[in-house]
Amino acid sequence: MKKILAIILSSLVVFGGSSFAQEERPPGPPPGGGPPPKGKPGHRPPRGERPPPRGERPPRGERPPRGQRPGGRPGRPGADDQQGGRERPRGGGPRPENLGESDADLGAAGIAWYPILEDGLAEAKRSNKPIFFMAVASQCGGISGVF
Amino acid sequence: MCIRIDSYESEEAQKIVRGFLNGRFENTAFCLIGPDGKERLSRSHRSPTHIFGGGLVDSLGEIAKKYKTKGEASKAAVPDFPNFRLGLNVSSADQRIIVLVTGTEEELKSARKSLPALSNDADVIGKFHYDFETDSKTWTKALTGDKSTSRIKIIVPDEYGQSGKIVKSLPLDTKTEDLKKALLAANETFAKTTGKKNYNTHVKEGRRQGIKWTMPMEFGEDRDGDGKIDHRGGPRR
Repeated sequence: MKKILAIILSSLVVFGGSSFAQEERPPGPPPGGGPPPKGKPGHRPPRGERPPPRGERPPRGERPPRGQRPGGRPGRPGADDQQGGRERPRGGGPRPENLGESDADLGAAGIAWYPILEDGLAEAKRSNKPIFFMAVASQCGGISGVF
Repeated sequence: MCIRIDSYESEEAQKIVRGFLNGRFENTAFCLIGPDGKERLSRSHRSPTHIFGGGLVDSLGEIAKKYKTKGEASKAAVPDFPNFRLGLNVSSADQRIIVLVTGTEEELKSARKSLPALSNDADVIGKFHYDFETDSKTWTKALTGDKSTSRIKIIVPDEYGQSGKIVKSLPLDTKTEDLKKALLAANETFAKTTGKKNYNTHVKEGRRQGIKWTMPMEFGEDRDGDGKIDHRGGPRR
């Protein structure tokens, strides 16, 4: 008799708990516009959207870049594109050593840069063209041949 | 139109960078400026992404549309480098041939008037770098190849831009059409015989080979804008 009572009571607790969980909050952001609280069962993403368990993830080199991983933190737009899929090592943009090859074909026309400020300013004034100005170092870590 | 200067080439260059970055000095600076050279058309920052987001090219196109260009495009000045050493280095980085024009001040003045017809030609523009030099000491040691004394030298830079090979020399009075043919032929050969540079392996291989590039200015950034290059963990001893 005690066993039967215990089974009935425990099934009531489980059923009641799951019903409560389902009715706890409506889907969507909580009132006030703040982010949904983390770690609560009602706000976990559906099973299909969760990242796969650690053992099932692809090897490190084959993973999609940050921002495209399921459940991952979104990256800044364009950040991964500029670094060939690598994560940004620090603020400010990619370093030459994080770049691969140029998209331009060898021998093809590129930008006709003015390397002397005064020359460029004079030409802009003559042609009434706005100026895209940039200053950069023509080396990376003391290695020349990168700009 | 585009201006690209080297941040570490001179004190003057660093003053320009500080002018754009509110007194700070950082490796890079980007800004859009009006044709008068004074009006700022964008905020300035060390990264173009911070100014334009991901749409740099579109943003530039939109801004350029607002200005009506004047003057003949074929008369745009030939871009010149502050010195041949930097020109060779940048040519290597961009994987472009550099055209060195040598001579007296008078000869160079004349060449600067005649060469825009070539440098602004639709088949030529954006494919070559140019440098004008009066002092032969600035370039003779860095170059091999054609020993001719002709004043226009077509040069292929080496992998690290610290030396180059003269593939053809032509007199200053060469006709524009002949010069164009020579340049385009050299460019075609260069493109066919040169591998595309991978910047990642380039830097790694440079470190392995012990390549060094000495800059006229101290390397580093002044992020607090106190006028001195910052050093992590205090000043260097």
